Amino acid sequence: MTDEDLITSWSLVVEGFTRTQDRVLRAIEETGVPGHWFEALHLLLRTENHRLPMSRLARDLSMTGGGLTKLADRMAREGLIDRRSAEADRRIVYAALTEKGIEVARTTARLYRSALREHVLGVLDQQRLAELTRLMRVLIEAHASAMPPTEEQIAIQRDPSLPDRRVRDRTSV
Amino acid sequence: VTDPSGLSDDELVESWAVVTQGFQHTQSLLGLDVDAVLGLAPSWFEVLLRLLRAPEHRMPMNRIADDVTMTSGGFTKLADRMVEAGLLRRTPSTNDRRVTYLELTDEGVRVAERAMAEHVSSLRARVLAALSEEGIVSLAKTMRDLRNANSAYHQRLADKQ
Repeated sequence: MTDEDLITSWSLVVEGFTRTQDRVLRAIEETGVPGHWFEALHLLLRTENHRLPMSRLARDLSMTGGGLTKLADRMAREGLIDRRSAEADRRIVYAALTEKGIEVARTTARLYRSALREHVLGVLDQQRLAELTRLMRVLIEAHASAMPPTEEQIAIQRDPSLPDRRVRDRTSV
Repeated sequence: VTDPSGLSDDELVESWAVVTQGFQHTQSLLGLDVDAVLGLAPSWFEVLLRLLRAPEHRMPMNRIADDVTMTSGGFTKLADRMVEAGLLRRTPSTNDRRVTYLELTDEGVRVAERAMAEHVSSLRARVLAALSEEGIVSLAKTMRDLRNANSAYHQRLADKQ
């Protein structure tokens, strides 16, 4: 496979996923719940006891710890989640859905399901969706051990002859 | 709830969750690879990559904003910072003064080419090695169909034809 074909293929993956996800989340945003709030609510809704350690939530949402803290602050102010330390280990902080959070999560989850039927299953049939899911599972398994490096590791690896142009967009979510 | 296609709501949600996780995790590792070597944030790299592949390394601003799916306000700020860093310049269109183009500077081309080389080697190591060529071709075909169905821009293109 040529470099060009490889780049084009991955660009299509980026555009296909991003466009579809935007379209699906738009159905939820119309109710006033931001898309990334929904992703957090939905994850908690599908978890036993509707709660997860903050660190786990950050990882599953592909967010930085700082970004998630800000997001959780806002969601807590709206009364959608509670944060409390684990009784067994005070260092672990959990985010848990409140009653109101469960209600909002359920309402938006219904919209999400019908949007997925329309914008994903309406485009791909069941067989193609199964093949897409299989390929994505292969990617997940291939990278299971590749945890994102820490800030310190990035700093060491960076080519010092180049200026640091990084902008930490995700932390301002 | 089951529909005639035979896929339950839970199965559908689970499938899309796998797609989301697989995409986001891989994309963030690919971004970290380029960032680690060049100190280039993923949003910057995305803009450089698109311009590098565009004819004469230039594109209308609103078209790039649309491609990288950012709001025009958010994209204006990003473009401002990249202009300040000497990677891009703004140029007016020769036929329509209302349209502003973004163009790579020489420095922009140089950085974009280095980033591209890094991106290719990380795609080979992380995606091609895992999926094989057949897998990537299938993935890209499916994602192209999703993009065409769910993007207003690509729908307009299809309507014109």
